[in-house]
Amino acid sequence: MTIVRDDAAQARGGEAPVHSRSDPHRTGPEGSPGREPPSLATLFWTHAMVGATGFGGSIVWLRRLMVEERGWLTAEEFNNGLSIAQFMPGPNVFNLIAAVSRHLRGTTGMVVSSIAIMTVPLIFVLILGMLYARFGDVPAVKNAMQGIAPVAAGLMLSFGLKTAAAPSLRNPIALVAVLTFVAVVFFRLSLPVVLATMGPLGVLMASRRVR
Amino acid sequence: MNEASLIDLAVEFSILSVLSFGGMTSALTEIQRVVVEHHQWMDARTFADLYGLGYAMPGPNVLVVSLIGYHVAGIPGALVATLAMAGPSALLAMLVVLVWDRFQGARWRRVIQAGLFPVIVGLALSGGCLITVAAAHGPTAYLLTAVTAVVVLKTRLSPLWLIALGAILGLSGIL
Repeated sequence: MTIVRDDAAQARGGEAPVHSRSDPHRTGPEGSPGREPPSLATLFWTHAMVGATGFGGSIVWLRRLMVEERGWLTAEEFNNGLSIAQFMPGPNVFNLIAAVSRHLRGTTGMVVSSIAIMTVPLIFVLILGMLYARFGDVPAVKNAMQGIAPVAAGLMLSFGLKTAAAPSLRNPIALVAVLTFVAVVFFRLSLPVVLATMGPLGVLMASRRVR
Repeated sequence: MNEASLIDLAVEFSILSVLSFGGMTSALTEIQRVVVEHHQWMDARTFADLYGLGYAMPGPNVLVVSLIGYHVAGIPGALVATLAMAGPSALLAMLVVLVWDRFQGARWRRVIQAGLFPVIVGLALSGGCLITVAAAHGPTAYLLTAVTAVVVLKTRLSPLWLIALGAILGLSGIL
């Protein structure tokens, strides 16, 4: 996998090997000592910003916010939350917010963050929906979006590479990542099928390695 | 609109919420079946337009559902549909995490975590590649994608500048 520049937050938490996950101080339900969780107001406005700017998938921007900019979560905590979020049904942004909420003011934090992340885009999209209902199409918006789409793609790519740079992704388990990639990109298998096959395969391989 | 359609929206999207493994993208076919064929809330063309609109916007891709709700029952419809789609699955995820946390340090938990993570990596990388191809309308678009990826990986510059650049290029007709 590609080597990507480690940022401070990733270096702090990301390098813990798989078998040292048992340290209760690392990811206790109340969050880790020494790391003050953000206030509800902070959660609201930062998530509102992510919602307003989240081109290319809000999860990309959530990682940037939580791991890189604010250091609320270590890369490893984020990755664990993301794993749960992806394997559970439903829109994975909200699953992710729910899955990491124990580090970020619990259920209240989850509700505040979820509402915040939807507020601005909902207003945006409802205005556009009204315009659509009246005019059918909005060419200027379409043109701007056409230019933004490649940028969003670049963001998503960099997110993939950063995720792949996690130290816990070592041989031979990295093979599962490659197989997943091939299954999606070249065989166009549907996501539920990929999750149902690659998930158990990964767990099977991990069960031989993790002590 | 009427209360009956609000209840329909709430019921249909709550069911979709807890059944849509793989998130919004894989739920789309089923959403289309429910919205276009079963309830006939809109025709296929309108569905495709709303879908495009929802995906082009910033923010969570559940916005597609918000737009459908809006189309069916105005602003209350948008709110009901969004909450129904995002709420039940998020609660489920929260419950799973609660159980998960009780097994802090258990071997099976570490095995599952270590086993699922490479799948997430594969999905993230393939998502990036598929979106790159879908967004590309020519060499300039590929170049912009590559520049964005490098800038985000190598510098601390906020991606918002790149978003703005993309919007300007799009509006000026270069892309």
